[in-house]
Amino acid sequence: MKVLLKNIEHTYMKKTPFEKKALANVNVNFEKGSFTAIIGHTGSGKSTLVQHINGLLKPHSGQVTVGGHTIDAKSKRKQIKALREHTGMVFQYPEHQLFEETVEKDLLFGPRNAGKEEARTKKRLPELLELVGLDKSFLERSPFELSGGQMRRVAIAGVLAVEPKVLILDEPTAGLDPQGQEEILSLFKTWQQQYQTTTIMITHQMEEAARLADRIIVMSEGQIIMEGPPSVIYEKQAELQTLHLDVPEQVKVLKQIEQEMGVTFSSYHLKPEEAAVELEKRLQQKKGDTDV
Amino acid sequence: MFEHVIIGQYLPGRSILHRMDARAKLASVFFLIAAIFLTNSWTGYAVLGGAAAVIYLSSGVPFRYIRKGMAPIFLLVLFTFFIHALFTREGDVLLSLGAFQFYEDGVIQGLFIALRLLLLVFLTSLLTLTTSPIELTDAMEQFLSPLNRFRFPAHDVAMMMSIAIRFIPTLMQETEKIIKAQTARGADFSKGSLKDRAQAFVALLVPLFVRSFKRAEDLAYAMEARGYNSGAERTKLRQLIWKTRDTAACVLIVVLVAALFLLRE
Ligand SMILES: Nc1ncnc2c1ncn2[C@@H]1O[C@H](COP(=O)(O)OP(=O)(O)O)[C@@H](O)[C@H]1O
Ligand SMILES: [Mg+2]
Repeated sequence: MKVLLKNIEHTYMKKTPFEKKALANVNVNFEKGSFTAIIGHTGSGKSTLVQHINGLLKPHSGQVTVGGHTIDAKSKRKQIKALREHTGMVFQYPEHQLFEETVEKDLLFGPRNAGKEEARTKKRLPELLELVGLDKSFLERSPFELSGGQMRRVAIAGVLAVEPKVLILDEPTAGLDPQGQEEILSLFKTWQQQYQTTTIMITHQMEEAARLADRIIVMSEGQIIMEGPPSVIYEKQAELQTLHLDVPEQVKVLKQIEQEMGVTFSSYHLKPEEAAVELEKRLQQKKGDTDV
Repeated sequence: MFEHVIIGQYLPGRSILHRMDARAKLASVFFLIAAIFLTNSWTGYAVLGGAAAVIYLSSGVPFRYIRKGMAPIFLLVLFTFFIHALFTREGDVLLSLGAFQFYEDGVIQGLFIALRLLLLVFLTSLLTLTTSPIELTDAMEQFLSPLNRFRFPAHDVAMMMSIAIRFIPTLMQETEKIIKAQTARGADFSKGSLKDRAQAFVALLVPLFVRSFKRAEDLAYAMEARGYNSGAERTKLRQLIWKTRDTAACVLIVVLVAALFLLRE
């Protein structure tokens, strides 16, 4: 499903001394089946932005369109609910939302609220659990006796269980060990490719963003200040640094090699093997140049 | 969701009232409340009303905050007024509406009670609006500390209060976060059948309790690991500082209360 945000503004605590403008005139589109990463400093308005996409927040001005549903400042509860049915959201620390006695019941909470057929959903649960890296013996266990990482996986499965057309991920890997992060991220990538889900992920890590997303959005002070494919965003190292956003290690390594060895890479968005091949080629070229 | 709830109703600021020592404010409010209940004449209420207005003007608090704080008790005020006005059958009949008769004394008594309630809430709102909860507990602890001699755990009570206060914002944020997470999963907290809503609240309360117990446990361990011991002598990071103006304010209040006492009929 396609998502369109038009002239979105949002102010928290309006008309109090604590008033805070969190979004100022944001315009952005997310194409069907795309994978977008949003990066930016803490407090730059990332969470506020994505919470508009499933109607958790209403824009104070502007419009949000998801598929055929549009909401604005005056939208009623019913319209918002219709829009919400197509979106799934994984919050930071999603394991805090578990509440049922068994994992199975918790996984059924979302589909039941969405009015999905229970028998069909139930049949799919083992497969879903396997996708998040758990086996079906977990269905009967209490979510509160699982480890932190397992709880996170159950919570994520609970969001995927409704098969959302738009999937929003707000720092889904915060607090996991590197291997766990890796697994969860590839799971989202697999899901996106399999179901053509429009995926929007907030992350602090440039590496994550670069590897998974086909587009990166950089936010600062409630506005989108950069937007483009990872390779383009990486070229703007100086600008990223003024925003205190770190460039990925991989880019730093390539830059350092360029400086020390006097070569230039075609892009900073290369896989290690590609970079090695390219480096070898450049060095040979260079040697050839000096031999002549 | 909770955007319009102001924690403990405290409104940070730099007014005279904000900068006064919390102990001076607490003592003043205490004396003024005593005065409110002692007063029984129109002149007395006029003087009290004037004092309340002066205090309000020195607080720099926008009036809508006071209005919001007072709104919930307004019904109570109306209700008590009518109870008194209708059921005190003394003095001349002022007005009779069908079966209801309003007697002069009843109306006067009703007005007095209504005024008392309004002044009470007005002054305590000003206290909490201009004093941070932590300063307030510190002040209370100091006032309660003489009771230590009678084995009243003034420090522990104050510690419990400040921890509770410290966690109100955390709890509200957590509540908001879980409401959002469950709403995103299709739960409906505001509409729907009773059964649906009950289920939505279970989905909110269970995680909230689980998290609160977890947090209490973590905090207890952290405090113990740093050698917290409830009986120990302790110094404070923020000292309450008593200035000349605090003495002056207290003297003024005492004079006012004495004057009000003399105005009693
Ligand atoms: N519920 C809220 N009430 C008041 N202010 C908020 C609330 N949520 C976020 N803010 C403020 O809005 C700004 C943007 O916050 P957020 O969207 O959470 O940023 P990010 O996700 O990029 O860290 C911040 O300054 C934050 O303090
Ligand atoms: Mg955030």
